[in-house]
Amino acid sequence: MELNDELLSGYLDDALDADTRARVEAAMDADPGARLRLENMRQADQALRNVVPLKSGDSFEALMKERVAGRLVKPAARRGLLPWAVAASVLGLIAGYFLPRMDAGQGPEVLDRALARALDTQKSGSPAVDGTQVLLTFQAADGRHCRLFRAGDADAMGEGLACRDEKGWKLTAWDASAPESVDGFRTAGASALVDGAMVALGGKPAMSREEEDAVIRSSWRRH
Amino acid sequence: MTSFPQQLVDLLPRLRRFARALTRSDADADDLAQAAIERALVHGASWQPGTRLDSWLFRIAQNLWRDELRAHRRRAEPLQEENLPGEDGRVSLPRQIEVRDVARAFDELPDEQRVVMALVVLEGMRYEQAAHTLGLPVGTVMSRLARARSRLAVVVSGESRRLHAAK
Repeated sequence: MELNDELLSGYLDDALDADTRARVEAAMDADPGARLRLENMRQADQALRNVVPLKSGDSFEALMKERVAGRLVKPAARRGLLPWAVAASVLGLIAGYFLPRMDAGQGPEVLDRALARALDTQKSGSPAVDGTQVLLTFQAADGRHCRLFRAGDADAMGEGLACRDEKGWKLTAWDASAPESVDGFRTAGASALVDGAMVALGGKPAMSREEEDAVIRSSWRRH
Repeated sequence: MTSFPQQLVDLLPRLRRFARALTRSDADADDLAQAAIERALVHGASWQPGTRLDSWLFRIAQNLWRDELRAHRRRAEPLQEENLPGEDGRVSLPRQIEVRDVARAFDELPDEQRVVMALVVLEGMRYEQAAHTLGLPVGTVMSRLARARSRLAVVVSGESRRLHAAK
């Protein structure tokens, strides 16, 4: 039996059936190197628990208890980062109620007029129109304005990324796989492909609502 | 029976630890934990009693963090190297070195491996529960965990060799 890392890891977590476990133990008796790897994994686990300890009894916890008791939790304000995430996630929930518009497995390779219009005019997070909802806007490193959007229907929801040049909106990335909806929550963005495309474009963080309003009003003039 | 808000409060230490694993920053972790609690309160009706609240809450945190990264189109900040305690809360030199190296290796893991390791090793979840929390097949959880553990084990192994050599 070849003792690969997956078997050793499963052994460590007591996740192997009795037969496999016995075979792993027998194999380790004949392979001191594997036993050492297992011990190193065990030590790494313990070291990790020390690295990321449980924290409690501090002022943050006291504040949270007070706020939860009063249901007065406010968005984190330290750097103003997460309120956007909260809003986007809630909007992602809304996105689960889109009406059908797009065939499964087929992305909008040619942007139809309705999609182009949505990209031109919709504010990020507005309710979907004709099955399209814009999620965020940013300016890429090359100066183009780009928008992340979702389109499709309840059965086949895809995510896309479009950037605007002088001639209009061009599709940069499209992922037709529908984000999962579990426990009533629909993930407000689950495409590694689209994420990768966004990172590759570089540029600035997502625009604030005010910045986005201004660029929509200017008909996407670059600045 | 414990109220829903109280159950959320009871989960706060674990939520903060999970958030720390996601964000790699204590400050971002607390922001994320706060946002996750807020969302859980607003959408508590969508949690089904009888299912695990911790999985549901961690999933909320993970989704929020992904949205956060997307909005800012960045990855989390580099590792904070200060304030890494040893097992007993103090920091002896060899322990400090090892903890720092393991901490760095953990933070340098690919996001998808780090989050699996957080759920299984830190939270003690079974593979099935971690898979449910992340919406992944169990086999994917197992393979990502094995790769993550292997990387950290190499760090521990190297550290052990250095310490033995110094004796």
